[in-house]
Amino acid sequence: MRAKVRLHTLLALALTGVFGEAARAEVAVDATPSVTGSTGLYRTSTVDDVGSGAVRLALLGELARSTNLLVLNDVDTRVIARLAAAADVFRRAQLFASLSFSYNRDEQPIADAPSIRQTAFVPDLSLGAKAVAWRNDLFAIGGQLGARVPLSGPSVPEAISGWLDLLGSARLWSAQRSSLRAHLSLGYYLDNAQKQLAVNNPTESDIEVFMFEHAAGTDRIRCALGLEGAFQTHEWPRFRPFVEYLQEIATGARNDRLLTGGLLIADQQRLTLGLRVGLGPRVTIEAGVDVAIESPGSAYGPPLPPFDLWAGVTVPFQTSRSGDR
Amino acid sequence: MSRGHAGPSRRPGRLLVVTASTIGMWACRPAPLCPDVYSNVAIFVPAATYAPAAPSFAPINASTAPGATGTTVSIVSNQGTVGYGGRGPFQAFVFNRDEFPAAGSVVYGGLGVENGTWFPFWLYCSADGRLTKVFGEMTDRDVDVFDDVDGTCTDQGVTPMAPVSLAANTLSPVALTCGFSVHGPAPTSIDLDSSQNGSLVLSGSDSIALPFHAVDCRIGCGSPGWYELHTMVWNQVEQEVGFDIIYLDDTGVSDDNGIELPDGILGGGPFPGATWSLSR
Repeated sequence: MRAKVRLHTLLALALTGVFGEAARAEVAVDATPSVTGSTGLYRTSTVDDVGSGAVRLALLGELARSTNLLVLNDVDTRVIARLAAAADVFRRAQLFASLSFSYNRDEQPIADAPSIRQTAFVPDLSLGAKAVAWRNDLFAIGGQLGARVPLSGPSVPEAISGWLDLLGSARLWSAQRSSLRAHLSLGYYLDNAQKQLAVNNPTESDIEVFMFEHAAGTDRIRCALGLEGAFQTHEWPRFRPFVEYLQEIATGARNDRLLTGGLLIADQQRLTLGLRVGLGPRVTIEAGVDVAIESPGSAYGPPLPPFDLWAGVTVPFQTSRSGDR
Repeated sequence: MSRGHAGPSRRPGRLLVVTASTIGMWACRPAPLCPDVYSNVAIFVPAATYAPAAPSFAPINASTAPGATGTTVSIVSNQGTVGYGGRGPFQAFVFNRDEFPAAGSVVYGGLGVENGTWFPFWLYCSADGRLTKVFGEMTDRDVDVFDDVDGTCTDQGVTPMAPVSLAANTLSPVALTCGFSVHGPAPTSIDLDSSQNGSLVLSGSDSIALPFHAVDCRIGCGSPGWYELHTMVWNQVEQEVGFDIIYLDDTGVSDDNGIELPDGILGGGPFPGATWSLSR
């Protein structure tokens, strides 16, 4: 099948279910865990890749380095390593987890300042489940529920954060060796990470650096829109470029200790560009960059570094239900 | 802002930093915080009675709605109490009136006093007698509060302001803000640098100047824009302590809209020949 499939034709085919197992299997074959472990793009979970029966294991690394980000003239470096896994269960559901180790270092070159240099090693575990509520060969709708559990600090139960997302995916265009899909995610993130702050009488920059190190903000609405292409000339390599736009709008209480000029900015926006390459029947490698568009005010969340570079590798392990729906 | 004379770097890490900085220039983000730096100077404020000999504006009554939490105002005939940012209510009085066309308000400047900290604040009053916003600061933290409030504000039928008795107090610590450099020659010399104690001439004498907070009005406050350094000034010779606003704009450096105790008068004016630069 070489001809392009037009949108109205796709809609008709969707209603009649002409596309079969092959299309769905094609989607699932290179599905890789996102930062939370849920399969998807780099930060956005997707729903049309659930049900292939595979267990996917990914190793992801991320680097951000910037100046003048948290405190005037500082140099901030953050390195994150993640071990993420996703396992499809019961044809329409997926369990996922991601163990994250974040190393942060903030150098403040001010003589005699109390916080000249701060470093922190922050481990946490994200875990959750997602499920497909309805799908055909063009569209899929579902949702996911997750939690982020800090693995350090004295207030672990109270500092557990959680999220609930509605997920939707659509196949916009498809040909024999290429396709274009869109993904939408809309949800709410309940952020309790600031409860980990255990410093007596912290200063503004103590709090700011802490929030950055722990990715701690306030409760917020999250929405994400992603476009994902796929093409291949032979069996492999299979190329999957993608772009994500993410916006988060703070709805929770601001941190009154960070009443600064950026207070009125309650939302953050970023763009993520990535490329995945499937090598052989099993391995997928990926790399990309986050670009900050807008950072929230200090009282609502940590500033976004101007860029994050990331890369990873995913290996799937087929289970006995491989390809089963 | 000069970034020095560094040439092309051979280090990949340096390249990453430069790249990040370049991208960050077009990304929208708040200015970085200042480092936690406090002055090693403790300012002794003698007991004083604030009683302007020739009031320049009609006194006001201003208050937030009964039961208000968070930011509260209770001012009768220019004095009473104010609280914001989790601090107070503290003793407060109003000493200044200014038109603020960009905000569609008349802004009344006031000062709250506690032992250890002064709280400069501004009440935004609308033409129809409403108190709509409170902008507040505190000398021991480099922060500001700008809260919407629901209240009343009037200068109609207000009794004259009675003298305000202020107990002796010592201001410490005083925060030091960052991101600027201001220098000017004698006889009205001024020297202010980021995160450092500074100096300026007050009442003809060299005085200690501690800029504890900056207000960026380059955009949104009026045209042309300006930048403010809110500064504590201590003339140890005359035993005078003042809150002063140093204005940086296209015309140079000047000060205005401040208050000095015990006299209550802080004559503002330009610092001829002074230059300034900003770094955040």
